[in-house]
Amino acid sequence: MNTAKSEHEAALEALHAAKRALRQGNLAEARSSARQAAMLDPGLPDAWLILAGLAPPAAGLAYAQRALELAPDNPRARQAVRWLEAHQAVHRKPEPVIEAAPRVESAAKTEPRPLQRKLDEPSTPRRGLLIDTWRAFRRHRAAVLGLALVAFFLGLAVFAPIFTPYDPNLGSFEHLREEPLTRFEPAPDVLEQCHWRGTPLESWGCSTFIAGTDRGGRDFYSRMVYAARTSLAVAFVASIVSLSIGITYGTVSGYAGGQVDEIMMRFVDFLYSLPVFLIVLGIQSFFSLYWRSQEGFIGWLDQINRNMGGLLFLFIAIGAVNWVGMARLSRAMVHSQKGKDYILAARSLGANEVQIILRHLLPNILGPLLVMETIAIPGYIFLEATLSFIGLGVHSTIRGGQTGVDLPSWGAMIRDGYAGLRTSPYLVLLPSLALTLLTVAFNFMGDGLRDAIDPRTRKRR
Amino acid sequence: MTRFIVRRMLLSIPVLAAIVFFAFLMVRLQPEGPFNSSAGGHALPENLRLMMETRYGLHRPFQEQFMIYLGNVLKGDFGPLLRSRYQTVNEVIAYSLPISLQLGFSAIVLGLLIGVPAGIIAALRHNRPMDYVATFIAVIGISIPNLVLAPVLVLFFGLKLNWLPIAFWGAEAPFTFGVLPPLDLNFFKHAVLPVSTLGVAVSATIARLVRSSLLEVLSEDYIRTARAKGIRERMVIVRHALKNALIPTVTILGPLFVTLLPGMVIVENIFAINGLARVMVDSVFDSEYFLLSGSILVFAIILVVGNLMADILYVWLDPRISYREAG
Repeated sequence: MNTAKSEHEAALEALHAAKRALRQGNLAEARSSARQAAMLDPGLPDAWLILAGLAPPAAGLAYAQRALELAPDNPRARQAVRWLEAHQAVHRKPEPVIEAAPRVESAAKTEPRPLQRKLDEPSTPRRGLLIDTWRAFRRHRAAVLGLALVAFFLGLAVFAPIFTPYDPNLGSFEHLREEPLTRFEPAPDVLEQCHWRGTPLESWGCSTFIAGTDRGGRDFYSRMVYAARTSLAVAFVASIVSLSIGITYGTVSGYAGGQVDEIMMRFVDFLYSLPVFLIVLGIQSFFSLYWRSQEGFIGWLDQINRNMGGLLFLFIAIGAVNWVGMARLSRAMVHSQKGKDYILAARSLGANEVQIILRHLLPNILGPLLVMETIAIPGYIFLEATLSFIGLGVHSTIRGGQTGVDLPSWGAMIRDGYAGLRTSPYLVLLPSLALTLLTVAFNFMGDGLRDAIDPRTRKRR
Repeated sequence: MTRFIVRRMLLSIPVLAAIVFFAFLMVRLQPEGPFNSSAGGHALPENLRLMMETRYGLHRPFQEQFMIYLGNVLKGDFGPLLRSRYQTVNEVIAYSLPISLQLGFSAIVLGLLIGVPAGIIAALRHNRPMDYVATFIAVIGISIPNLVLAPVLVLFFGLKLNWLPIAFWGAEAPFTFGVLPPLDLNFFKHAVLPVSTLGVAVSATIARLVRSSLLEVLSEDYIRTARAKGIRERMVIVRHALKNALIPTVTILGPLFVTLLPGMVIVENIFAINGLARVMVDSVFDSEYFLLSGSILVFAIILVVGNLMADILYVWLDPRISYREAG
């Protein structure tokens, strides 16, 4: 009892010293005295308040809250807490690290439960922190599997020449419809073109049809691997095209607002209701079969198209109809972000409109947009396969009737192999398997990405 | 309500107009006329060519041609068939459109028959093994493209097991009332494989949709009220939950037909069915310009009308949506 009373008195003395030092402007002295006071008697709200005023704002909040707990009626305490909380909200510091607190708290037996309101998950920035997203993504086993599969196909596509013996368009009519693993004697000029020349694989690989040949005498295995290029090229380029056009259009429309926004969105709604497949079909058939004139701009484009195996017009057709969904979504998101405080803050700090859009707005909306695009990619792959199946996709002919380059495509391979379904089903089943795997991979990846980006499904770390 | 319907219909008119224009462009923007022999190998004698060109006004200015084409279309005349002088596009569409409609409609019916019960079961056994199995199967079903499924079904059921025919549709025009097929064994045998190919994806989509909307509805307050009132669980589900949960499913049927279209192209191609989708694709390679634009137009009209009906149905069924904001 005696010690307690004298502690309390000592604390009061220290508190007086602190206040005196404050009046004189001696902040360091004030702080040490206040700390002493708080250590001696943790029940003094004033001591905590002084510490709150002198400490950096992050730590000071805890002090002020402690003071408020001790003296709920004290207007200064309330004001201090309110001010510090507002300060914290503006600066968004993480949970405060209180350096002095552990020592003090061990002296006080009661652990002060901070009134700290869990600040809401910020409705704006930092949702797309790459690391956070990656961590959340990693938890989905299916999504990681999807990513691995996509990476596998990507590797196949990019390094196709390494994995295959021959060029996929090299067909010889002596070897039509050979069985898998048939050996043959390659002519010297054919052997020249073997990718595995000079490697240990040469003796076996350059003279074996690993998966047989198709009905044009082309090595089936090589075609399978190279066809990955076609599907992935369509997937990526079409999504880039649709992302660029869509995001630009949607952002401009959403940011402009008013009449311009109305008109632009009416146009988008109109396009949205057009049947996609029919338009793509129409465009493709128009370009690939009808326009045979070689002059003018279209003729020049046609020449490029032929050299790309038909990919150019395919990109145009698919991109031209699919940007609409992206435009709608980005416009909606821009609308919702436009009124947020950080935009206002940026504007009041003097950023011009373009800067605001590029540096503040776009990074925040990019996440869900990318997810939506990833989910749309299986559709693109399927569209390309369908068009190639009916012959309106990439150029994949037996005799290469038109000038230009031929590209293998899984859809075209299914068409070619269908006639031999009874005797050699693998001609159809292998491309089908590849298509399914790629589609499933992107589906899983898209699902995982969507759950990773959405903060509601993310557990808080 | 009628105001909303009228307004919605008016909004579809620009869409239809654009499609007609697009179809017209397909025909008209050829560097060579559709009747030139070099274009499609249709060797018409010179006088016939001139006559056809005059009849279809190919020497007139562009806008006039479009008006003529529009007028013809509105009268129902889609143009001539280039490979045969005795048939018109209308006749070809008349015998192939019903087949496509039967195929698509059966696929949707199959999808509903499988998907709705599956979705309901999955929702009711939420987070139990049945749910996971059903969801997994549904994801697989959505992921397998028609292009893959059709040959696999053909190989397995047609060639290996030899249970079902792998080509042709079991019925031919003319049909009762223009669309209804004869429902006999032959028809069903032929119909199973194509309809199943299309129906798998449809039922997977519907199952997922039903499951998620039923789960959402079951957590609503009015369901809790109904249970608190002591109503039997089955009645709660059937009378209160299901009706609301099925609204999204009903309204998705219109757009579902849209997604069915590429599938129909493939299925009709693989199973050698004489539907409009196959006719449309073949017409590209035969350089049948009028047939192509006509069939695109017909499909587009069906799709637009389907979307329109889905929108109207949605507003009609869900009393929470006000007609004004839905427009």
